[in-house]
Amino acid sequence: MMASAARRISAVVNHDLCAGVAMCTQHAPGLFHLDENGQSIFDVGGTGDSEQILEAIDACPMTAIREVDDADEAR
Amino acid sequence: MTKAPVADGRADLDDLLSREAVDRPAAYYAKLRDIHPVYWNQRWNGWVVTGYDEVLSGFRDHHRLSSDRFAGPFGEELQRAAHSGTDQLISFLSKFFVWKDQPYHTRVRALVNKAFTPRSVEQLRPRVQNLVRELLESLRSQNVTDFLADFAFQVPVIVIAEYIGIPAEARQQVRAWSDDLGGVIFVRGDDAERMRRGEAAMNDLVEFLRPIVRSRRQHPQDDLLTGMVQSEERGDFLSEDEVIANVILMVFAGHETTMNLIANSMIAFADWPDEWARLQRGPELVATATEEVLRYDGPIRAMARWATEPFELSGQSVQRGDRVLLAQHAANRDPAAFKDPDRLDIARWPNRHVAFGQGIHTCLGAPLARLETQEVLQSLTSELRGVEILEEELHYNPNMVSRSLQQLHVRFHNR
Repeated sequence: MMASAARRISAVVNHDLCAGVAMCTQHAPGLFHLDENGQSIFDVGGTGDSEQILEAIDACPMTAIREVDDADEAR
Repeated sequence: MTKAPVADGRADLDDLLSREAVDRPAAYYAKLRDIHPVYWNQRWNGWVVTGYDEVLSGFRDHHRLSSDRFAGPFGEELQRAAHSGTDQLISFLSKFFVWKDQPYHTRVRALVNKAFTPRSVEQLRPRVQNLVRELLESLRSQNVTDFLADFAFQVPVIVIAEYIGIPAEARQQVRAWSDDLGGVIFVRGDDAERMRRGEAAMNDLVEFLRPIVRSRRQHPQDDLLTGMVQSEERGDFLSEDEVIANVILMVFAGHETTMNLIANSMIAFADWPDEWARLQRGPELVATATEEVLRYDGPIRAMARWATEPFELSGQSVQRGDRVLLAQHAANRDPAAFKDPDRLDIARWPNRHVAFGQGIHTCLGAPLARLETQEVLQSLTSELRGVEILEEELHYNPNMVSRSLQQLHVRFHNR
């Protein structure tokens, strides 16, 4: 299935790699937040666009964020 | 509460610069951890955190544990040491993003972060490979090699200078300036002579860098410095002095720590020669080997924080204004977190060491340090039969932050 241009991509954070550097929350503040353990969480229903998600993925110093097509995978 | 005066026999444990603490940190921190993973050090007047979980949560708690050196107990210390002759030193140190909290810290970090992601530094790998090969070629016929000065220092200082965009020819001067700045950065800033030398080094560095920074405005190049200057021109955040200060920070942090990591890895392999042979047989282990030397004997002993509000840490009551020393060396040898922690195992995985810290202050240059160390280990194990340590006794610089050998002479044994 082709992803429609209008649909936003999703992301998952690998918590074995995440060090809580919080660069993702800088680049996509409406889509990532740190939980009480200092781990990044992707907010499936958050506000922001695909470009911000790709910026966050690229900016992660731990390469802990991965792009996924389907929001269900990101849960 | 364990803030009561300590019993006899424990007094030595409060000396963070004792011979044992400096030269054999794993054994020293284990004694503290046995008493309590969050230990009140009467002499330092602060908490020494040696448990893995506690160190990890300390690093991640940037709201309650401040890195700001210009406020709280460390700020008071600096105020006492500062005088009219140290204006430039204090002014530029206070712009180092590593010693600030949010939001300044994160604004500067976000600006330079992209240049240090694994993807970005990967483009430096061919240059690092060539550099390591050239250096090794020039040294391998020597009978005795000054490993720190002629090898471990050269690799990272040339790489970071080229990457930022400052002339690598200045590297010997950079080393002298870095030594003097290190006297202030790694040791408590309360010694007049160290402060005076730090001020002189800072003056020289600023004088050296200011024209280079200004020239990037007229003649933009494809380097990190140009990126920083252009952000300044976009009017967002960095003043010229802030650019200069953070270039100094990156040059300093970009070679000092990696130099020590490379040197410490030689000692680790000398202690575990079978692991050296294992890497020779299995060069594909170089990435996990690099993580393991970071865990086993990383270049940073500990980082200091101070509490901005009272909270509990493993049952201890940390008070507002308390100093808190997060001992990475201790966490990385905690048997609760690592099986056989005192053994070097180059295939160890997963390896969630905290050599680079954790949280918003996680080492910016970690991907570059990893890449450089991987290439050094790859090259040395494939080109040489072994590296013989010629020091009769190893002595480390007496400070609480860096794990750095005073000297390291070696003999390269060719295949």
